[in-house]
Amino acid sequence: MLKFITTRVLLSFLTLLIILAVVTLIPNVAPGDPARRIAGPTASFERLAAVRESLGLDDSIPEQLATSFTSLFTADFGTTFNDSSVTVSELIRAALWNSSKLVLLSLLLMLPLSILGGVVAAYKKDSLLDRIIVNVGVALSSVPDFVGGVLFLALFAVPFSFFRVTAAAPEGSGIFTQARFLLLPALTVTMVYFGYIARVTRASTISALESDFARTAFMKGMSTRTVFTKHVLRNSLLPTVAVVGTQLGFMFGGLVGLELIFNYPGLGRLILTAVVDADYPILRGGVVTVAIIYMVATLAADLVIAWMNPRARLALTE
Amino acid sequence: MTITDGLVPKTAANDGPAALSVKDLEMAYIVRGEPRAVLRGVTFDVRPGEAYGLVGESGCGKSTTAYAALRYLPSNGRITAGKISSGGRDLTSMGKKELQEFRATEASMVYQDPVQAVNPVLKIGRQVAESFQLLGNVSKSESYDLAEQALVRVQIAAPKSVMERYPHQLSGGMLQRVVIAMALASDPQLLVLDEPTTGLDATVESEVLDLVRHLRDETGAAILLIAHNLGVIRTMCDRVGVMYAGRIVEEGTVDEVFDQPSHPYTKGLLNSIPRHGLTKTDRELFSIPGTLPQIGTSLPTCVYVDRCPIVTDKCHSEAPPVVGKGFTHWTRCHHDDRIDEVPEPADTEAIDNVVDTEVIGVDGVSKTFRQRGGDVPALVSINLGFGVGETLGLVGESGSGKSTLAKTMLGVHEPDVGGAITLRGRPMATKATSRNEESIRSIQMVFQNPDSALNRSWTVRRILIRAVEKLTGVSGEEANERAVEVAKAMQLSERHLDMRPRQLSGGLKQRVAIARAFAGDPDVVVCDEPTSALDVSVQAAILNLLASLQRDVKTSYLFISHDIGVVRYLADRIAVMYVGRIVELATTEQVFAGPVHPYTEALLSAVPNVDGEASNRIPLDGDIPSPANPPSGCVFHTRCHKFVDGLCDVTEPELKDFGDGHMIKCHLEREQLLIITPKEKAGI
Amino acid sequence: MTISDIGEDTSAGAEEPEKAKAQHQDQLASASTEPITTIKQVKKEQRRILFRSPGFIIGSLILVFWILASLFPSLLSTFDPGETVRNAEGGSMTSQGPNGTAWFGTTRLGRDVYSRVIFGARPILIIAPLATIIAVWAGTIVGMLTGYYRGIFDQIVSRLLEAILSIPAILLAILIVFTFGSTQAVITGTIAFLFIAPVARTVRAATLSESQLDYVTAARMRGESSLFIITREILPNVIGVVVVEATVRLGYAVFTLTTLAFLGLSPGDATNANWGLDVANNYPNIINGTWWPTIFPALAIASMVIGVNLIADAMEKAIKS
Repeated sequence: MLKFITTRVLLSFLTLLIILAVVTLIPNVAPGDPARRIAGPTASFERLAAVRESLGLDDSIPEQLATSFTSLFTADFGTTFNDSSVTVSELIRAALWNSSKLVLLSLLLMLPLSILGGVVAAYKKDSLLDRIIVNVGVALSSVPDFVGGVLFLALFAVPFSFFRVTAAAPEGSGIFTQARFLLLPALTVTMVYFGYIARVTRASTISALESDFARTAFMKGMSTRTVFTKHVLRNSLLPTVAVVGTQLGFMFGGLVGLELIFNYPGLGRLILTAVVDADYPILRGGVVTVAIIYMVATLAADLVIAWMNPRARLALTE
Repeated sequence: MTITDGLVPKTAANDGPAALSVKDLEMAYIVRGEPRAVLRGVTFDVRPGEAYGLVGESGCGKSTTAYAALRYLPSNGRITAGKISSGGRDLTSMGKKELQEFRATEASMVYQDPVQAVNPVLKIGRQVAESFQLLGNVSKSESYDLAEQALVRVQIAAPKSVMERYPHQLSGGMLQRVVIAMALASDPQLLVLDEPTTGLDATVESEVLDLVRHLRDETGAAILLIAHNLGVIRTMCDRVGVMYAGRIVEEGTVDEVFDQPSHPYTKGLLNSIPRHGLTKTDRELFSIPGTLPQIGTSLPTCVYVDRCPIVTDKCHSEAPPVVGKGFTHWTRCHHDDRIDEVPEPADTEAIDNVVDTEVIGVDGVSKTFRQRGGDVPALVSINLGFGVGETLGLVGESGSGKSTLAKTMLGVHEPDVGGAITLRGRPMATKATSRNEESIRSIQMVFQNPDSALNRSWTVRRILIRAVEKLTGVSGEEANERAVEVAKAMQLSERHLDMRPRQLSGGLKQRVAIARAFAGDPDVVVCDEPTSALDVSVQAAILNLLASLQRDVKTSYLFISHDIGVVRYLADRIAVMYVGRIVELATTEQVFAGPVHPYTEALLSAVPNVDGEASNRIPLDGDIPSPANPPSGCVFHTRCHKFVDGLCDVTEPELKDFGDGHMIKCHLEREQLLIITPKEKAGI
Repeated sequence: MTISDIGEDTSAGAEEPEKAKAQHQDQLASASTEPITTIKQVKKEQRRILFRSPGFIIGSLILVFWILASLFPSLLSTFDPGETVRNAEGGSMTSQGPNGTAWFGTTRLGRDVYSRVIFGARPILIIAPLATIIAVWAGTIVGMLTGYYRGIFDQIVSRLLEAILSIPAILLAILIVFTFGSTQAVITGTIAFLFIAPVARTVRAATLSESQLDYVTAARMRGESSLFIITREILPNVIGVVVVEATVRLGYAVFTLTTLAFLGLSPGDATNANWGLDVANNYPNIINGTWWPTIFPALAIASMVIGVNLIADAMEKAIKS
């Protein structure tokens, strides 16, 4: 087990290096002078030089890569390009905290709803309810988050003042106020993911329900409810765990449009701003953070699955 | 004597209500809103303490009947008529709670695939204890104690440690014991076993069957046993019902039905398996023409009418009556008096086919798989030779290395340095991709599962043409002609050529696979369990085909099979493998005359005998050792009933000649091997 | 199987599944594979399932509408996308709610929302399918090669794919498109590049399980070349997976494309109709009650994605049947 985790962490590190290399090299291969683009067409020569220096563009490519890689090990991505008094770490920490709140609330809404939806659909397979859950879920599953966001804005935030148009609660608000402010974006995330997770849960629940071991349980004289709670769910939730694991990274970094609409300072928006401002230190730090979240989440999902399923555990230890 | 349908006389000893009574049961599967008949009026009784068997080929409805007996129906299955009752209680009208209670306390089931039948994520102990908890009145800790006792009862040596394990850590045979332990938790009056040993090795099978027999004596439970293996039914049951297309066509005691079959179907079924030591030089096997009618087909008169060799106009117009043949024996046939007219298969010309020139040789071949955590020697210095037109049967339990040997010969696995596969004395390239055309042509393979072996998106024609092109070098119209010719030789019709594998039945698919192997006139064809997925009458046709091809074109076979009867029928010589080593190599007559290697002795004794001859079974303890971790000395010493302490566990014996070329890998002398000393097994 | 059926009351009015589910494997399995059907019937059966599926019908209707809109926008629209709608007196109608003249209302600049929605389909229906085709083509090659050869080559490629997959595609898309400029070519290329990874992953898994079947072993034993085995033996058996994956990716391509547009990364200028950009330009006015310039293009995006998804789902079901 320990060997498995070590291998995974090392491989993840390798992946991170690839990502960092890509992110570092992009300004170099971009057409035109990135410094010129940042500083503006009227900037003085001195200003251009300063920009170039702070971007590290004067260094050779290997030197740039070395700088980036070092920053990964020291977890220090330096200060932002626009304001040398603010460190990248501080900015990322704040954005990460905000994103975490949104993701947490979204998961609290989404997981019970979509797991329940999937299980009910499986239980009532081929019924009208099943068809509704599956088709609605499928239909909505890759609708862009910003589209869901504006629809919810128009439907809820305008007529009902309970829902807020901005997701960030005023400084010092209590947990419930914060949750209320975050409710609409969290509902949007729920809408986007409901179908995906419900469908995975449905499929695995059906296969567990139709399995020979469930048959054995029924033949022991067990009631349907007991078969479900003692035999089916533990098997059928494994794929759900895996899917949630792979999607967490997206929830943290991919909700750019949604964060923009609800004016919420999360990780996605931070990275977007960094791109637009060509603030490479933030960009590097942000992208690495999102990738780390993805890797930690998928590793955690694998460990949870191993904990739930002895066969997967065996595969890990070998 | 004509008796009323289903009115089977009761014996004096058992006049209580039947443990299971099925009367005129009709069932249908709903397919696209339409009911398709699967059971067409099934009637039988299982009396208390009796073991009743249902036999028949796949699709005849025997498993459907078994599950219906506990009212477990597939989601689209409907009971359309008839009644099922147990101990006088009507199951068809039982409510939910009552049914749960019935299953928990009065009837239990054992399933075909034990690995799938237990929950993979829960410990064994919990699953067995659960069966006791469902009975009520036991605390959790009591249920675990009872579970431990239950495991002892099914002869699991270390119940405490087994309870702490997960299903994937146990072998199939062990898991089937666990399933049986769960089934016996309630001391049921009725135990339904659905193909309980299918997929298990013969040695494990016989142990499980011994256990069931022993437990039956102990508990007095009535047994309904579903099996396609006639030998299993014969050795396990008192009475048997022969099922065909959703109906029982003949019923009687096992001796009556197997020794004096009086329905043409029963007779055909029995003639399709090699019995009484039959071999390919004696006569062909009987193959029932045609195929089983599809589910839902309308069969208003006799269900067997389309395939019956003694059919008359009457059979097409009138449903046959139940004709009593004796006190307990009846058949459902208009012409039971003409049963002797069912044709016997033709005798084959006894020609001595085997020529001593070696075509292909396996020369000191070892195969070691390099894995993390150590090397696994899967084959250890194998030496074999194939004469022209010879069949070498290869037997041994799963995991003994049979398939590895086959794949190494064909160049899928590369043998370790030093070993070689030789073609007429000259070594071939070890990898298939580097073999020349002649080497590739000379050795081909037929796989166990044609679904996996045939490309499902290719037509039969394309499959055969491609093989012809690659193996003979001809192309274009010539290749097509050759493909058609090969297909014809396999008794495939033109019509089949433009079909894809999924449109063909299992037997036809296997013919296509054989045709592909024969496309380039191979010298040796490796057959890896080619009939184990097929029903016996289809198996008979495939075995006949293989035997006649061999007579015609003098091909040699390496015939891998777990079915000793089939090997005996087809093979000229037999090689027995154990943990990657050949422990015995002899002619078929020598093997069946004895003396043999103790392992061979145990293997032979494990075969359930369809002829009703008593056999002196030699049990094999435990599982086959892992090749990664072979025992010291003789690899078989851990399970050997003739084990000599201080010798067998220290020195590995040579494969030595015991006279007449009979090779045995054992320290003992001929005389010592002759003495039959079955080890007593505790509890049985 | 519905639970209500399992061993309980069989007459309890449960729905009847379309396909015969053989719980008693040996019963149905062998009997239903008898050589009755021809290959035409098999394909016909798949088509029948597809064409009768309500999801497929609805999805196709939606998609056909948008394809028509992108082919003949002038026929379906009432105004030019950049044109200012004027009332009878010739005054410009700005920020008008839906009415008889402007069915979906007008924008702040007086443009007709309905016509802009119609005109907005074309750029999406050019870029998204193109990017998808490139991604599926390249992803299938990568997936099949890695799945077939495995080994060190697979390890390296899988690591690179994993790197791409570990960052939300939209973030990488923003980065690349912003850096290289939001031209049609860059956007198409970016989406195509980013989608190679998920396609390759799916195709790799399918190829891996195919290459473990005996027909591949048989081909090797016959001395077939790897190229032949991959393209002639395995490819026909994974093509179904590829088709389904292509449809799913098309949905995500629309997702990525419109999100980029929403963030201001789209080719063309503001007078060109663009759903994502129109949403971005108008959503702050929702709180003032001017919902139509935002909601109609948003619904247009949603409907296109939903249409593609419904088709993808129906095809998956038909292929698996």
